[in-house]
Amino acid sequence: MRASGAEVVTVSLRREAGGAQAGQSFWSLVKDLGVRVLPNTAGCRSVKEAVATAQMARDLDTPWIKLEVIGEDDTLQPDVFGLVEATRVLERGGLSGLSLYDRGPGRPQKLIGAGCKS
Amino acid sequence: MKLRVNGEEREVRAADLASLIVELDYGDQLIATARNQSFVRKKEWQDGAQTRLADGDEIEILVRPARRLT
Repeated sequence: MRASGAEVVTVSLRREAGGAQAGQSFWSLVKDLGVRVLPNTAGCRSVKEAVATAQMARDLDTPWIKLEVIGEDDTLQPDVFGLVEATRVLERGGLSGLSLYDRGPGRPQKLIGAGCKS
Repeated sequence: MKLRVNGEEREVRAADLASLIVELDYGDQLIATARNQSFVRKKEWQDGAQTRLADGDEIEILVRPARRLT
């Protein structure tokens, strides 16, 4: 991470923050690098799952969240429709300020239209 | 009863979410929870009556990462 000069590192919230002691050493390593941590909802395969994970992230006082909804298990390509729906559900529930990083053609505009902030 | 906690099958004695968090030894860490893919607010799970568990429930418990290891 140092060699890359990255200032933001995205991390699966469920994998690294689940369990009483699980992932603490990894989090500690990332924090010690002084980079901004962007939790993501990796591993979520439904809108409901991604929404619950994002809500949990906010409850942990994390200001940023990268929404991910898996569309295909083989390729891990995103479910674009699911992402838009999850964003709308979260916006309706008052959870705003979601961050977005997506390179897919047309997707950023749709997600920003649904409420994502960047 | 048998639950799936953070993806793992577990046999637990707890009958509600608050008791489960104690049983799993989360102590006073800042956590967030979901039951059957629905977010459960802290004030809800702290009230055991609102979060009775059922056999087969899927529970997710996330811990706010500590800044440094002690």
